[in-house]
Amino acid sequence: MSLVFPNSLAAATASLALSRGAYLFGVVFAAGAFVTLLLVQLDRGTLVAWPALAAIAAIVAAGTALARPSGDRPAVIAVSAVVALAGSAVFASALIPRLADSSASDGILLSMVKIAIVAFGAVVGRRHSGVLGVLAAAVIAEVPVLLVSLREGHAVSLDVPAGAIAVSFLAVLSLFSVSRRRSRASGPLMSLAGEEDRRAVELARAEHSSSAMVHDTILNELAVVGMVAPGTLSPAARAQISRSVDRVTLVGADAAAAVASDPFAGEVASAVEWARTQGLEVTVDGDTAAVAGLPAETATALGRAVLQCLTNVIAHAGVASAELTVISTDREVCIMVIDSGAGFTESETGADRLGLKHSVRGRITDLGGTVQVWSAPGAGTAVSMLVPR
Amino acid sequence: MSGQLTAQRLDPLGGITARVLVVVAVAIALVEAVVMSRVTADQISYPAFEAVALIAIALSGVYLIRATSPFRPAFSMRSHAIVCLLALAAVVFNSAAQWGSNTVVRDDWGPLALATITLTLGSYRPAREILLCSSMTAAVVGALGLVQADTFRSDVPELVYAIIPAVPIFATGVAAAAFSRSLVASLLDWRSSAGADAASALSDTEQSVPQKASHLVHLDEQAIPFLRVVAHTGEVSEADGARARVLARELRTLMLIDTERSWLERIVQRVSDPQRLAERMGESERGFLRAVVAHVRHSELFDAATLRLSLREHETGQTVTAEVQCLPGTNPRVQLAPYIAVAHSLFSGVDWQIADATLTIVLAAGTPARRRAIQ
Repeated sequence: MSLVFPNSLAAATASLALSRGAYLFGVVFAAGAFVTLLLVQLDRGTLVAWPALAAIAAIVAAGTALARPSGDRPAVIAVSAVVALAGSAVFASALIPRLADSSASDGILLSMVKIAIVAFGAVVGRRHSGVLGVLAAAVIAEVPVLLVSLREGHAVSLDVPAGAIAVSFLAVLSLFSVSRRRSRASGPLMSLAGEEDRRAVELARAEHSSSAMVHDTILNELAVVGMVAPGTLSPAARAQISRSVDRVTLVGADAAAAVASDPFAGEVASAVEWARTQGLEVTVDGDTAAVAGLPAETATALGRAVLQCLTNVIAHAGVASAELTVISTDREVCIMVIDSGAGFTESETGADRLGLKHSVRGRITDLGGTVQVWSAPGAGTAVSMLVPR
Repeated sequence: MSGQLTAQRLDPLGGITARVLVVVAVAIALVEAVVMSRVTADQISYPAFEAVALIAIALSGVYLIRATSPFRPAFSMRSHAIVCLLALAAVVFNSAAQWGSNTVVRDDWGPLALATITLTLGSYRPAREILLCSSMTAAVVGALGLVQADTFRSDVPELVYAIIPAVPIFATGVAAAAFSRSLVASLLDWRSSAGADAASALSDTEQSVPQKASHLVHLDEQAIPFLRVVAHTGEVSEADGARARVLARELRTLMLIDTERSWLERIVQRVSDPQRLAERMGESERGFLRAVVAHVRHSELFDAATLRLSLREHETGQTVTAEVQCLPGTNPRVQLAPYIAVAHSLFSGVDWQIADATLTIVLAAGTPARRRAIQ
């Protein structure tokens, strides 16, 4: 176990946490505006606030769509933005004409809904640029209110609370990134220390058995050579010395190999490592040592195919995590890359999506292996690559 | 148990990342308080209460900044309570200062400052605690709004005066709780995935090979080559006999030394560990000491040759003391922060100081009561 959380995962987990916090922040503000408006509506029967209440509900629905796992998809973001814009326009149109003439564009109810929209904009920061999300949301929140206020002849004022919240979100998103780079500079060294300790413990264990072997063999042989009369050694004595030297050398080599070798190494591990640097959380399990035993050509092709699968997850699945499982038999090794993301229908993928066809299927079939893809829109994807050992 | 875990305890470096936000948020809260206090001066009937409110919010902010320092133990429930109570006191005194003359609810700075401070707590306290605290403070703030309803100008139902000031506090509390819960869940997932991710942070750092035991080096370089030659030629001279006896004696001596030498003595030359405590350390503690040693070696701020480690067992627990000379004109405080923060998550007591150009870090293992006894 590493001493510290790996830097490669820190950004993704913080973005996810910020996104969840921003969503609930927006929901509470929207709920506050909804309840306030409802109380006013119930208090004054003449006020017709129902369209404004419906608009708040639509804005929350747009935010909820963004907060769902599929909310990272560009289509969902676009539809949510349109719904929020429509909601903001309906809300302003329904409310502003009914406010007192002296009310400005920064009235408390207007501010609360604007704050909710800005917070929902920050939700897209989970996967895309949160800064752009907040700026776009601020425009969606403010423009309809300004236009309706001008149309109705109400005063236009700078909305300090909504503006402050937007600036706060921008500051949080930017500061986290800058501060993380500084505070986590020592992370790799601490992780390395934990890894070194693991290797040192293994080495000590190997040395312990090696020492016992030295005691039983090499010290005996040195004692024999030290005591025999000068001259020619008997063939039996020479054979015994050679056997002892070979035994100790073999044990030492095995121990060194056990400490130095990583059972999950090479191109497949590099592909996983690369995906992690891109913010994808990749869980690896199964018989990873089997990958190390593959012929170099197979391991290279398999590694590149895995890289393509993980690239597809990052680009198209819309999720922050994937699983890589290794299953082996005496004759074959199977690697599965699984995600619970957007999914797709293979026959309907565009001509530009050549990765699966060439980089995965082509490579694996060239090795005499097979590729199977299980996927459906919204149900995730599993790619199985089976290669001979 | 996981309900009491905080992101800071699970990832001390994340706590340092979040501290920048704490400093900025406290600055915003204080500016907000001072500016709004001046802007709404016409609504203040009791200036003394307003002064107390400003002092209370300043104390709350300063305490928060101090308590989240990486050089201090993890931000505790007690610290959370102090920060919240001081900020809540500011809200109460801000309302008291405007008692009978508060005409607009939305320009009260108290709830906004309290909300701003609450927003920063997600990295430091568990979700349930943040939610409970913010719900309680939101209820108090809402009640204050409700009892002042008669003085507000707007013609709306009284309950609205409770909702408007309470919403920012409750919203930031819910947001901070969701942030905390999400981070803790991610960190626990990572921990439970065992060593699979351990290599992920290593790609950009050169790995070093652990130092080999000296008797094995002697074996590889001296004894085995000698025996190979003897086995190959089949001839033994008098000189060979003498050489074999010397090699056997050296090998026995080195085996004995290696048996006595701890893992710590393999990486640091000057170690005093008469009770052999190094061998009883856990994996995390060993890893931490290796990280400190590696940092001292790689840093340009220390004279690595002067590093000295002393391990002692007391009646009250064990202590590890690391001392190293700082190079002239350097200040290792900033570089040290992540290590002290991580040490707080591994050891029950952490003390450090720089005096006479020497950095001294004392790490104590044992219960907090034992630690106090040591100090």
